[in-house]
Amino acid sequence: MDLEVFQNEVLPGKNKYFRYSQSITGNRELSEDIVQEVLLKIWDKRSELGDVLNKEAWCMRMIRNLSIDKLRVKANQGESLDKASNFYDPGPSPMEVTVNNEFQHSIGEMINKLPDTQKEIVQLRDIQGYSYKEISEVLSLDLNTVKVTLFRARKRLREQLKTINIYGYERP
Amino acid sequence: MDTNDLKLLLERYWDGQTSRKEEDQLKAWFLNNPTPEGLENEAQLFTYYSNQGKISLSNDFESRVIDQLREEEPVSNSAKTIAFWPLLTNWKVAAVISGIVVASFVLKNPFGSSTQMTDTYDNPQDAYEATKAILLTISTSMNKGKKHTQQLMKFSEAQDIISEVNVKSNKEGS
Repeated sequence: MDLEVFQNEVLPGKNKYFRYSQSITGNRELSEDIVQEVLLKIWDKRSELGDVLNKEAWCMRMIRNLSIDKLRVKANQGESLDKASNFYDPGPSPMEVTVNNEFQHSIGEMINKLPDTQKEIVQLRDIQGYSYKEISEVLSLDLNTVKVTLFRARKRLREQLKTINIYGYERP
Repeated sequence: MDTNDLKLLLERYWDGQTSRKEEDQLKAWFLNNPTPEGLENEAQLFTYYSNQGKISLSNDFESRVIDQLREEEPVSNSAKTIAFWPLLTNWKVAAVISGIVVASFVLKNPFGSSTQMTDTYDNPQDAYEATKAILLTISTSMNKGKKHTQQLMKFSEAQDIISEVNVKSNKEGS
């Protein structure tokens, strides 16, 4: 695989890799480093890519493994990560706190508090738009487990949404 | 899609029954339409999903990665060096084949032909031996020609056998 093919077939997925990594690490800078490291590793292993049927799922697995490893290392070193950078900032002015921001922040918190596998499947399906088959390849789970886990995650989120009022705060 | 259809689709979504296309429809609907009463939470949820899907790397990320990969492209220089070796191998093979052609020309009529090269050696046998020695010298200095050297030696052995047979038959005929 030459550089042109790498640019056309691997690099276009970079933002998906980044979003997925950030959903695991909660840290933008760390995830950017992780994506760069994985892309360089993929380039080093480019001769093996011909045997890989689903290149994107293969890349996402590498992203997942490295993100979890880095997170574990940071945790072992006692470093806390800035999880606030996980959430999308719709861009209000610093002086303005909007109702939407608070609600969005609450939803982000709810998803982050899901069990790890549920959180990952919500990320891969509801945010990234992957099929059940692709998710099963990334997470090495069978299809039924993916579907059941997603169902449970959505059920949990639906119940938690009922506890949040229109301003994004939990109802008393 | 009216509000009733929307609510039915949402129920299927919560039950995990929707396709990816239908889930995209839900996201797009909530982005582009005023929120119906009672569906504010769902609107926020799908807005969150849409917003999260827009998170991206910095604009210069790709160019930084490409630059880094290009810095490693001394691999392409050694690829040029490596690419040279097949050409060198081809030259070795060509040299050996030329040697075989010359040897076969020399050995075609080992005894008594006036067309043989006798400029250097009066005795064709000496010429033959000298040619064989030269070819073996060429082949031993070319590692890649080893296989062809073995073939040449077999060819040479075959010629020896043929020559002996010819000598015997000439003697019997005379």
